[in-house]
Amino acid sequence: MKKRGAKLCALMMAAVMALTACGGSSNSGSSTTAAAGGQTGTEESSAAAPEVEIPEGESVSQEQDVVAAISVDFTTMDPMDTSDTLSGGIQRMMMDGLFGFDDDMKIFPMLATGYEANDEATEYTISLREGISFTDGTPWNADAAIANFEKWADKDLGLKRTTLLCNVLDHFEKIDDYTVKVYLSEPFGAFIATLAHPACVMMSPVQIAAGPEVCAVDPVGTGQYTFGEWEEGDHLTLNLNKDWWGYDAEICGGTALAASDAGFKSVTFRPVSENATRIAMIQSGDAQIVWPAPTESVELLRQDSNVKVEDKESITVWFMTLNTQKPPLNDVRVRQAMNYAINKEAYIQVVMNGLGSIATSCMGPAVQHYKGNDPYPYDVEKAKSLLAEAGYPDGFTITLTYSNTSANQKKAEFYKQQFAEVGINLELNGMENAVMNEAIQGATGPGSDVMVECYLTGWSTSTGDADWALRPLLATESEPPLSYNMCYYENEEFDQLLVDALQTADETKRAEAYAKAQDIMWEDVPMICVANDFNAWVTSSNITGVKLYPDQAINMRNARMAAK
Amino acid sequence: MLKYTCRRIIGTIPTLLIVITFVFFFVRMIPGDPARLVAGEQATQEAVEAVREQLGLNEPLPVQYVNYVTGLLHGDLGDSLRTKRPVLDEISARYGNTLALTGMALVWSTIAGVLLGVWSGKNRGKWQDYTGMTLAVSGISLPAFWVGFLLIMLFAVRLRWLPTTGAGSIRNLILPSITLGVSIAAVIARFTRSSIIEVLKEDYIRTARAKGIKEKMVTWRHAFRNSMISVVTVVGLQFGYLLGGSVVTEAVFAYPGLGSLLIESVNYRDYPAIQSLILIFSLQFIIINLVVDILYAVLNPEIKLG
Repeated sequence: MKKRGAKLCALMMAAVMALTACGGSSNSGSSTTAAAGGQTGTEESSAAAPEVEIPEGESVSQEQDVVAAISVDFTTMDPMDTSDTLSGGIQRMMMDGLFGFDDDMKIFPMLATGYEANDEATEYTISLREGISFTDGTPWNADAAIANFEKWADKDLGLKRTTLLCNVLDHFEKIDDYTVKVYLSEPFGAFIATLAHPACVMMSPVQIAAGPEVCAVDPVGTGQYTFGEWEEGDHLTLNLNKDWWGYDAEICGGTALAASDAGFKSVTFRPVSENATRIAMIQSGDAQIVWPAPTESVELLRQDSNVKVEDKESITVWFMTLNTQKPPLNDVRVRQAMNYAINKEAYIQVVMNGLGSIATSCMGPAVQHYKGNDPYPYDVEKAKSLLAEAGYPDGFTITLTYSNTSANQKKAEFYKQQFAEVGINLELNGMENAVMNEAIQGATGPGSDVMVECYLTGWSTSTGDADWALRPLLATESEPPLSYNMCYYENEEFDQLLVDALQTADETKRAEAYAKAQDIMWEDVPMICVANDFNAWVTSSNITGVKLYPDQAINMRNARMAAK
Repeated sequence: MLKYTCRRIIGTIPTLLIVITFVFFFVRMIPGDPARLVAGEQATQEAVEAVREQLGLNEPLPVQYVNYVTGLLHGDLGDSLRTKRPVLDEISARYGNTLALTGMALVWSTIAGVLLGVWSGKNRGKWQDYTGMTLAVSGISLPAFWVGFLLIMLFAVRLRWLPTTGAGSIRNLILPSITLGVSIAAVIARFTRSSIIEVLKEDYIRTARAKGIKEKMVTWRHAFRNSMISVVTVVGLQFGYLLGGSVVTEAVFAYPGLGSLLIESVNYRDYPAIQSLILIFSLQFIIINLVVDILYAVLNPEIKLG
């Protein structure tokens, strides 16, 4: 008996340890902000596959049930409790927001028709679109909007995304049935952009009243699809809502959001963690849509005439943060030298299989108020002379920390080789993802005392607005553990610009402030911005209009299908 | 017999207690902060702290332990940190799938393994033996993910006879159960073979043959029955391992069983789910061991249960 117990314990220990080890590698896919590695070439390269033309009214998609294979399972169907892009993207098919993103992530009004704000960005009057109902029959009006606002402001519900807005929402006023005024407790210029965030889609007040447990498993919105069923770990099914207001040009105010024959009869999402299995599913016809497309399979799939690989620049940027408070990284010349030492073109070819573009900011071009700057050219001589000027003619040794996925390992080795050319010895410190998060994001104390020197990561600006790219990554207030300023970058002028931009609702003024802030960070190099990631996805060749938004969420608003 | 069984069942209680305690503290020793993982990639410290409080992770460990054990006594395995739903619901939704897959894999691999083992053992040193054992060694050496992908490429992509993934029908079970069973069939074949060889050396076999009993009868009635004891042990152990979630196979075929649930739970540091899964795996092991012990007595009445 005793012996058996001991054996059992040993077995469990081994199991737990083995699982932690393999957990790390599979975790990276979901928790690194973007799909591992880069994706497909340029937009032209996808044009190589002949696009199917479907004449108006001849799409058979509304009679077709399709299967979409995805990489991880969903966590919840409550938008305010969702922290992963995948669940958020599916929710956006069932529920519309006041504002939404078009295909290029430009913000446009959906359940709202417009807004007015005061100069201080503390009061927003939002007019609502008329003639819309939730799929349970509840009318969409000011009361429904306020029910949602109140849920967002309620900290006690303990929902993961509550901090997006709960600290700024103060109180709400129903002006008339289709006008609502929102009072904020402090100026928040990014309010409208935040309303376009996938967490801020509108749910039926009936579900909200039923409580978060119901919202999590039975979402009801005004969207193009209704919730079917969800068998965890196996599939989640959505059914087409033919009465969606987006098909009605009149309600949309001129042009319908989707063609009258667009949308699938039903879409079944199947979580399939193995890349190769997802590819086999589309090759065998078991699935019609697959994303993300694994980089290594893209070339192979392009040869297959039954499937279509598409790609588009995402808003995910890959970069290396430099702890600006630790010598020698506290010298701006050293940081610039390191930037000159990286051949970004080669990085895209070697590390991303050519499926990326050179970064021109710490946010992707699709982000609102993005301002690009010229990339630092690859210039070994310039890098060496800057290092010499800073007092390091023979270079120095520095540590690079990263989550030890195979994609990251490749990146780290690339950097090591590049830095060696200018005499910098990069020591590689790959760690299991959760362990690393705790060590780096959980670190307390000033930048000069923490462990991190150089750190490999990426960022996807999920609100689509510059504030969420700059403030969490570079503002003084965002140093760990509070947020993600792993550069420990402290620049008063920069901080002030971010504050100014939030204290006005005037988008022109905001654009100016963010442009200046991006210029400052580009000159100061608290991080080396290397490449913009590309999204790649695969569909059967007779499907059109299935896309990924630059934030990696699926977009099937105008999906159509040709008869085989 | 009944007395023995009862005693064994009571004897499992301390083992289970040890398991519960060990797993509880072990899981919390895995580095990584579940609150941060649950809160999501771009969460602020404020959001992380809110999640921590909501999940009750800010309570001291001993308090959490007492809460957990009290819950267990009421049959409450806790709520998943990942989905916020009761762990018991999540496990029971998938338990049937794992049981079906394991059962099917075990049935075919036992039959195939035993036949191959007897065939090899009986013809020791001849070509049949070499063929059988080459197959068995290959079966053990081929990694499950490779076998799985090969089967998918052939039967799902090329021939389109069977679905690539999913659960729910027999057709869904065929490819994963073959993948899962290959190495078990191989192990069983090797055990059966050596056991048959041992038994064939026994005096009573010689006696049986001397009496002129047909060779077929000698093999199956005398040799096979007596070599079953070790085979049953192996099958029982393999069954226990398989029920512990065939992680790799389930991942390859995106099969919604306990193995894939365990992987997801570990990724999220979903303490209640990990604890419950390991507790259930241990419980299964204990039960299977018990059943195997009882089967011994059925197979060989000389074994006394005391």
